[in-house]
Amino acid sequence: MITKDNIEAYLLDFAEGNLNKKDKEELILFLDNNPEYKELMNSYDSSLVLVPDESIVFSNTDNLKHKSRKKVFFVAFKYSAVAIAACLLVFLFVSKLVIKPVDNENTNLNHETLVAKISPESVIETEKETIKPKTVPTEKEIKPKEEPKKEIEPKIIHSNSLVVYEVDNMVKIIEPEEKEIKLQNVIEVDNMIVFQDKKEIKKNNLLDKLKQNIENRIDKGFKSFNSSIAYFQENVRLEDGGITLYKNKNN
Amino acid sequence: MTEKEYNFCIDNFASSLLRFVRKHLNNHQWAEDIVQETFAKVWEKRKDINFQKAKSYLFTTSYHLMLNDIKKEERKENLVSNNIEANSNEFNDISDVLDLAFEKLTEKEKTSVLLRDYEGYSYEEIAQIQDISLENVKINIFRARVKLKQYLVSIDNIV
Repeated sequence: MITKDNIEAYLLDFAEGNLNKKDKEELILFLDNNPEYKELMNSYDSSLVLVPDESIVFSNTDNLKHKSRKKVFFVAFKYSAVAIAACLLVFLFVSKLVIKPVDNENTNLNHETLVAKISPESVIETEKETIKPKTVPTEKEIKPKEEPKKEIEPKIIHSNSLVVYEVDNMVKIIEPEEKEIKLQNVIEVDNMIVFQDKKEIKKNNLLDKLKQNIENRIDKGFKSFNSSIAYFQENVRLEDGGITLYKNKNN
Repeated sequence: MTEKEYNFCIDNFASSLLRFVRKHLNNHQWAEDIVQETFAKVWEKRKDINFQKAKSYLFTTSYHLMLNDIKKEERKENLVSNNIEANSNEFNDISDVLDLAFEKLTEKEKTSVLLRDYEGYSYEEIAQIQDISLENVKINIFRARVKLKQYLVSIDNIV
């Protein structure tokens, strides 16, 4: 219903052609009864439109914008991940260097089967630590000569002045002089000499077994077998009744 | 609204928002402050804003900020009166006259007519932005155009 409160809304719709037939008739009737609004209608000019000044622009749009932090976060995360990985690698490397003593359980070079004679000149006799008899059997019990020959498997490694046998999943070290080594049964692999008691040597099989043995048994704690040997040369000495472990004071 | 959409709004609506507010306040720096504050508020609530309605949200926010600013500081009245007095005897063209005529409108009339003429909003959209009835929007616009026309005629008679 048209009233004095909403007549201007109807006048606007009328000027813009938005009134239906019924509303038009109602408006005409209202204007007839209120002629002062006819004059108001004449004052309305629909062509009077405000035009924005396009020269006015917001110049600091860059200051308003937000740049994503995802990339920064991602890059930071990426670099931190690399840093963590690098730290882990360094830690592992350093731990390998620091944790140098032989882990007999890992290497299977346990004292029960180990017999080694090392020249005294290579050992600095400073501090002495004798292994308890409970864990160290007598020399007689562990001499390779006492082992039945038939049970000796041809998994033998010879390095420097030591000869290493592997028998029944155990490793034995003896002096090469104590064992007759037939030249035809000796081959050289890298810096080590490998021989076996059997008459024939299958080089390929022996080489594979040698590498596997080094990797699986001897070199779990160390990267090379030679370093293990060097350790024994420096620290282990065979004496009557057992093996003596010498520790260098400087260490 | 995503960050990308938000930045799109800045690129496309910041200037029109500035013109809208500046026309109200007749003060560029003040208008820029309002626009900046508007976008800051929109950024805070961007997750709740539908991008399709972002423009309306911007105008709504700036409109209410502007009204609050005017009421709080009462700066505009002085600025406008000073401005009118300073320029009342200098009419370079019809736009200057229209500017003066525009200042005679109420805030609601100004907003309704500016949203209609500057941005081309429908009456329903204007009602939503201003949070008033559709009828009141039409009344505002009708009265605004009548006042502008009457002012132009009066100035023409004086000159």
